[in-house]
Amino acid sequence: MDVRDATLLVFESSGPNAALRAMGGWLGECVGVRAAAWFDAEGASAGTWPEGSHPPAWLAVAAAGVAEPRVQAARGGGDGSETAAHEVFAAPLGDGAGALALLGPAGAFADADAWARLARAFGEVVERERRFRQVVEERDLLRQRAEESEALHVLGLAANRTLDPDEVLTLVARFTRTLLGAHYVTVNTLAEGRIRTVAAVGLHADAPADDPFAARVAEARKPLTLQAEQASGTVPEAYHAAEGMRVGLGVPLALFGETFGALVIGYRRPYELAPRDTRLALTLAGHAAVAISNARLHGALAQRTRELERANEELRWTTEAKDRFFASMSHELRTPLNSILGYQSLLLEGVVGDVPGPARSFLERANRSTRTLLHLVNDVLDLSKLQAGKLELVVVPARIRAIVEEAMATIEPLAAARRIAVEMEPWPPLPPVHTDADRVRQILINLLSNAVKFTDEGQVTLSAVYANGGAGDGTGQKWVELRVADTGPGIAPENQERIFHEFEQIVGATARGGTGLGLAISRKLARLLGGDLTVESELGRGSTFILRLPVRTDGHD
Amino acid sequence: MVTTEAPATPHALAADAFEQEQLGHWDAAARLYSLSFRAAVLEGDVPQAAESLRGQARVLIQEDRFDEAAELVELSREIAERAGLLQAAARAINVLGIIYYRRQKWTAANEQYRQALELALDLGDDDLAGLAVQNAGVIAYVRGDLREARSLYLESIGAFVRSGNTANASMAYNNLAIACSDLHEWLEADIYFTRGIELAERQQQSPLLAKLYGNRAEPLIEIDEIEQAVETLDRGAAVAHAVGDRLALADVERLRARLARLRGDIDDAAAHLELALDLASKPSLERASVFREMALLRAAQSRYDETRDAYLSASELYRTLGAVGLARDTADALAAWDAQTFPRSEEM
Repeated sequence: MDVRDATLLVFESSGPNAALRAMGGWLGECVGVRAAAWFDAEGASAGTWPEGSHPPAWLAVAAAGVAEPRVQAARGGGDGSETAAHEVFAAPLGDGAGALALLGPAGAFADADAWARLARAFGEVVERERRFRQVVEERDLLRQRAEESEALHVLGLAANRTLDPDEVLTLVARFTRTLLGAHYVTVNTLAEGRIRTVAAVGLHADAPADDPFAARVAEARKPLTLQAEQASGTVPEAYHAAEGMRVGLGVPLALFGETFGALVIGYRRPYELAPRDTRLALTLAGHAAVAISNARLHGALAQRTRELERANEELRWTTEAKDRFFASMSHELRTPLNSILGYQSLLLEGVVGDVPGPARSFLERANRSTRTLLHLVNDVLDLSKLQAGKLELVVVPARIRAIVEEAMATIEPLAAARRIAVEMEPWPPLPPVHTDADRVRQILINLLSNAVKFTDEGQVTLSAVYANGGAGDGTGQKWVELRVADTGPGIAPENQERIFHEFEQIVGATARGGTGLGLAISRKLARLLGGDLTVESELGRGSTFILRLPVRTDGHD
Repeated sequence: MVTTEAPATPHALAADAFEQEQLGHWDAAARLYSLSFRAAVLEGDVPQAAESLRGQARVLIQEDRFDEAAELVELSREIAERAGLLQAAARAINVLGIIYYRRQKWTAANEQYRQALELALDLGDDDLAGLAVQNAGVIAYVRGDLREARSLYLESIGAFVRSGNTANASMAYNNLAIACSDLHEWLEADIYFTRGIELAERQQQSPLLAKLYGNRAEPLIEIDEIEQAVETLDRGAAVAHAVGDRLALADVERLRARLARLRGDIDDAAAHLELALDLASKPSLERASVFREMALLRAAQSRYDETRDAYLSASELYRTLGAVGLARDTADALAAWDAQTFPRSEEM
């Protein structure tokens, strides 16, 4: 049995103290070692054998600063138990691990290599223990960070459950208090140059005043701390001194580069702020910042919505007022205009005697202008009725061909005056259409009249098509299409929709007369009848207006 | 050869007592706390004496012996304060709050929790801070203030994360998840139950695990994760059987009944509910919840009188237990069912 057995025991031990016990027991029995001590790098006793014994100071001195294993005579401790018959073996244990010292009988440590190996083995156990502790600490740290992340995640989920910024900020303040073990927490925001406490937990004051410390944090845009002064025992900020703060931490509330407040955490006890506290506080401040930012965006959105609703309401009122005005005025104008027209006709027909040549010419001009005015008034009245949804249709089975012929007859004088031929293409068999014949006629007259007015050379053609299913709408609906084609100047693509707008006339159109309402009214009427009015045109190659009417098939005419 | 066993230390006895307490073995826990207290007095270990008294009081509370519990906890506080053990005194105040709570004296209980929290913050005792806030959360919950309960449970999680007390954090997650379930925040509830389960599994906290597994089934059913719900109920039942937790088993049976009802197996649902009522035979929140589930089943069967009776039984039991929020919620559910089933015609 020798020191190598003790070395083996040391290797097999679970830690330095167990190694010290195993080694001491073995060596005490076999070699007569009386004491063993392990000193840390600072020279403090880290473990002894026999357990619970106190190593004499001279043993610590022997181990202090030892660079190589060495044996030296024991210097008695005064109680007479250690004499010159004893020696001390001391050896370093490696980087930062301290030293090992053994007290044994003289000559016990003669095999220097064997004792050095024992010391190295012990040093390795110490190092193993140190690494193990380090791993455990790292594991605990990682676990704690994971727990913190989970908790912050939970806070985020809870905060997402509400749009109420007060609720979110109070939630953040309360959670911050317990996660950071603080006495109180305030959330402060900057508005119009002032800092205001918008949420708080744990404050003694009922109505918190403005917090200059929070303002400083927001201005500095970085974490700041407050510490109680030695002399007064309070912090040098009246707001927080009144709250009994001993230690404080403030972090800015910032989002997308904008700082708009501060989160302040107060401790009423001495407390050593750790980097963890600042890290967590910044994360929590992020939650508060998001809540504030969301609240601001939400507020701005709500304000804009209110403004738009107000504007919309005004617009609706204005439109209704306009419609009322047009309807009323048109009605009021029509009666005197009809009266004027009547008297003019009587005069022109010579009911009150012959009208001399020049006077007749003036009278005819006045009569034409009056008719134009009446036409405009009728259009405005139709339009206002359409817009107000008050135009009533009289839908009955109608023969389209008859309607077309009536419209062509109406337009004939104008066509003759302009020397434009209006022709009807070969007529296909068409079923009767359930529609308002007067309104269809009105549309056709408008289309034919426009075609004649805008055609300087050539002709106007009217054709009809009986179509199934329309433009592939898959409904099985049948349609009649009436096409009014002219050989006029055509309409540029960008104007093809504009011409259907009220009071819109493209360049050059005004010279040809009209109110700018005809097509708008015609399209509205067509749609009211369940159909549509569209145009196909190419500049320089004329235009074709297509009136589409739905058909309920009862037979062909 | 005769061997002598070293006498158990007050600490060791208290540790054993705590283990029994966690398992719900109240008699054994009370006896061990009592032995621990005597040993602590003999050794002059005042902190342990105060703690053992507090532990004994907690066990008495579980047995509804509130007067005795109050005496012990007052004594614990007295001892602690005289010895300058502020932390022990603060913990005694917290236990006093629990006694008030069990006696349905909400205001007094909240005041105790507030004091305990203040002291905990002064002492930097994060674990006690977490307990005090969590207990306040329980009061908010039974009073029906679910959002406040949710906030308080969240605060308690913050404190337990700080203190590193995984066991308490697990309980806090369970409570938070229950509040979220009642708020119909199903996804969150599932996340929190899952988190509580992770922590409890790490700690091998079987009694709490039985509850967590069982409770998690409710949000899973609501989000239509039926397979997972069945699985977690089976786990809950296995653990609850192992630790002998009849109330946790009753909850499992109640939720199995719901699953059966939802798949249209009315007879199976009724059988599970009968079993649940047997398991939760004494007045408890779990028993009230079984009545509530029974009402849903009877409504599905168009058995109107029994539906009304079940709702009324649940509501009455909640009210008796002081759970005014749940009682109100049940009464509302009854009124809604009534209005839907028997719509009143317009008076001419």
